Amino acid sequence: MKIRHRLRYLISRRLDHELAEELRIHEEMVQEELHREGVSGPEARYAARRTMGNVTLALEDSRAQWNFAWLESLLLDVRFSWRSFRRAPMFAFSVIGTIGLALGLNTTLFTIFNAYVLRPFAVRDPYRLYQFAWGTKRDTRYLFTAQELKDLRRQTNVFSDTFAFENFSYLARVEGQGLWGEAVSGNYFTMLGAGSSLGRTILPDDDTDAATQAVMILSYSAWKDKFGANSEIAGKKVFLYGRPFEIVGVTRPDFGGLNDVPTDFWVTLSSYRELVRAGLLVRRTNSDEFGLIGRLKPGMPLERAKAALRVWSRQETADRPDAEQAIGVALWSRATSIRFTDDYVLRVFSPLVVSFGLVLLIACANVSNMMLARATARKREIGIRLSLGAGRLRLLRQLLTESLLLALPAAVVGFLVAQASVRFGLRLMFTTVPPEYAKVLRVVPLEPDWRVFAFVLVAAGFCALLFGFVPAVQATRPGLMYAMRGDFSSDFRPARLRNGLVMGQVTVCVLLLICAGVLLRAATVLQRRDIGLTVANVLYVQVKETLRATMAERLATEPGVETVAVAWRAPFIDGLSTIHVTPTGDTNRVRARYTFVSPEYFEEFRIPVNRGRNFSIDEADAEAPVAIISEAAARRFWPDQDAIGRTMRIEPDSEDPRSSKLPSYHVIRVIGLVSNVRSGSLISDAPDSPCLYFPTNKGDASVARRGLEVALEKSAPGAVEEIIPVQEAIATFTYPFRVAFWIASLLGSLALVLTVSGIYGVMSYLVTQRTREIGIRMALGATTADVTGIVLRQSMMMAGAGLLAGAFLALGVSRLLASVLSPVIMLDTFDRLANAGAIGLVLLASAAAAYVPSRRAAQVDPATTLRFE
Amino acid sequence: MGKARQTNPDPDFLPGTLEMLILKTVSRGQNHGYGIAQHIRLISGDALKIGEGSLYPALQRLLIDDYLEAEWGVSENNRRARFYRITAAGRRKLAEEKKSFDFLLGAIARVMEAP
Repeated sequence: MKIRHRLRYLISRRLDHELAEELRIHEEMVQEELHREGVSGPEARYAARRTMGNVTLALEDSRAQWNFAWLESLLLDVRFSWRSFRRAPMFAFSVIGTIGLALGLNTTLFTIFNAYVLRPFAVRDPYRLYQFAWGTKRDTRYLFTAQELKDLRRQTNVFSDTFAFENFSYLARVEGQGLWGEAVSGNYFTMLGAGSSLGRTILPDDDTDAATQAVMILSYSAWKDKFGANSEIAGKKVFLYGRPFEIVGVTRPDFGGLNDVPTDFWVTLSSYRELVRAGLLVRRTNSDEFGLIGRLKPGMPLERAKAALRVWSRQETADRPDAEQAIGVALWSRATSIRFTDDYVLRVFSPLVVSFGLVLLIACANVSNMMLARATARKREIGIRLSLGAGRLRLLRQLLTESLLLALPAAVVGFLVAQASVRFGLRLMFTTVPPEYAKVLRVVPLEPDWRVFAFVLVAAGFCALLFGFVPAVQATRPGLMYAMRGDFSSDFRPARLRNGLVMGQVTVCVLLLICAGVLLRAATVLQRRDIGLTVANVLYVQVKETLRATMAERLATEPGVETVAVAWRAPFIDGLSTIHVTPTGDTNRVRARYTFVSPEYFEEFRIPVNRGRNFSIDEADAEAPVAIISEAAARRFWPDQDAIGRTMRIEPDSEDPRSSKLPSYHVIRVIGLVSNVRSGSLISDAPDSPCLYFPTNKGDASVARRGLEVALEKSAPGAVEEIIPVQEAIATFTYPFRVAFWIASLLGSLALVLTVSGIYGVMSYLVTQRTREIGIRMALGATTADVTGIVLRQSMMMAGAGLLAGAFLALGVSRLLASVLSPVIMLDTFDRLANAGAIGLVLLASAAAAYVPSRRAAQVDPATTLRFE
Repeated sequence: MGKARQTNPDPDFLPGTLEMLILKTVSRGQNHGYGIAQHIRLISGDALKIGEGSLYPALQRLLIDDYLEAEWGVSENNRRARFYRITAAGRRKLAEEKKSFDFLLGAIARVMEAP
């Protein structure tokens, strides 16, 4: 209220005139009064003046009531700062550039975080959308049968509306393109309020068994990127798993489903069930179960909803076996791609936040250093102002205003840098990721919104405090004594502070570079890892089991295809299952990896059969109870003995959820030995863990590309589910390390540049400050080498302290990282090359940074300096 | 350096008393600045003379706080003048002030009259 009044005053100066007018009238009234009392004209006027006293002051005071005192002084500060920047534009530019760059990197990170974790989906009232699951003694159930879904809708009044869905867990091929698909119940689009930008959305009527035509809706980005933004796409027929679907429309640009990977197309649950029923699509879960997302009723608190659902799910499962009875329920928000409370957020973002934040800290330290140097230069000005009675608080405020004024343009620069780096980063990712994966890679839109704006502003303000506060306090420390003496240079305390800042910079720099080194080493070690099989020019083609034999035959006749082998689990793409093995005559059960392969497999991947023989065609066709085992398995089962011809017992491994295909026999005979290979995962597989190969007949295949894809599509439309060069599958294992390395080295090198400039600044300042001392030393006979040594020694001491701290921290940090990433870890935190490399680099850079100032020190002319004294 | 907002315009008054007097005066009906000062002077039997230096700043404060409204009008002598009128918030404030003022006066009286 008050602020409104005052703003109005600030905007219109009308009140000023009114006040003056009012006071004039007042005076006239006094005059009239005097007149009535018998005082004559001019007399009355003077008398009125006298009784009124100081009218101007009264006016001033009245006016002052309306002003924001602080606003006026702020404007003064701004004007003053602007003048001082104009005097030193290089200083202002370097501060804005340094902070802007570091802010930009952090804003980039925040943009990504915002897009995945903070920004809600563009649907109606996203914060009331919750997914439901119940927990039993055995596991958590996310999927529900149609009956359960119906009961939930009827028997509870928690949700105002619900929909059922199923994410296709793999890519579906539509028109030869790999797309991410989702099957949803008919009310999905109406309930979410997600309209169409072309044609129509899926409607409840589409999702009935009576619906004659299977329909599909494309996402806007899939329509644009994969279908050339064809405006006549509505009504077009496409094949999905060999069945015709009609495209009925395209979603709005801002809607891409409720997943962390944007969905490319949606079909109805009924048509999806149809695909499963026809055996065209194999579901991982066998029964007819789907996930559920509901919209909480308005005014329904989460806790009450949970309680109601708990009661309902107990009732619903009361007559089931003990292990299947619901004992608890979970409701979690589906408003954003990734929940803020997710473990994933912590794992992925916390190391990033820390390292990006550290770079920002270094940048602030650098600027702080510059400001300290500047404050020292301004000591005279500030000393004089202090001695003339300026309040310290007032000076502090003025210096902080200066920092803020520098931080604002830095925020603008940071925002622009972030926009550019998001765009550049995306392009870089799409060009560097293995090409087969680039096609299926989907990223949520990374457009900035108000949260990003707010972040960059708040972060800039925070930076201003961070880099401005200490120098401001330092500069306004009342040193009246020195100021009175006219001595503005004999205070050494800022130097100590600046040394501390540089040491901190070196610490962080070493830390980041060591991490970068460790990651790079991990990636190269992975890449050089001997996998024991040749994957060059091997293509992986996933086809439907029913069509496998025809496919394999068809492929073998294709020119350019050397061999076609069949494997139940393709190396590096599927990962192997495990089975329990008991060698005959032994009681120890051993867990071993296993797969089913056709005889061509070993030739295909150039895995030598060292002893015994390969499977015969007959054995393969009959899936005979024979096995070829790895050298490691042979050593493990029958140490120092010949394994060929021996038998063993196999039993299913109940702990491996993937063991869906099991041999139909229990005792098998070993007919051959092959070399050890890694074939499951590049990271976690040990090459010497036992591996068994069982014979199988034609099925999966491998090949030369383009013509093949067309041929396959012709012979059986929609039969091919995936084609991936195996080499690329391997590359995906090293890719994350590579990305992490690139990020870490980018941060590390930026830190290095900042540190070098920090050291350079401090040393140059030091040399200037010690010119007198150096001149005296040289006059007393010190050589150039001595003087250079003094400067270099001092900088090396700072660097050394920083290095030591940084190396220790790096040990701790990588330990922490290792524990966070524990399941896949293979980071060698003590990697000598990485540690030594990083430390050496920083040491060298610090020496180089100190070299120039040290030369300057050596060129000090003792005669000139002494003349000054 | 900006001027701090003045809250105690006249050392002879207790803080806030002037505002209370103005509110009280205006609560009987709208009045202009000169009229308000005259009224206070007459009623107090010339004991309280309010100078313009305190009156107008105080009026501005009351305007800012929304206790008063101002409007240009014509005075009894056919003269243009700015009239002040009390608002609902002003009335509440006046009641409040009067209560604490009575309390204070009572307290002072009890101290002074104690044997």
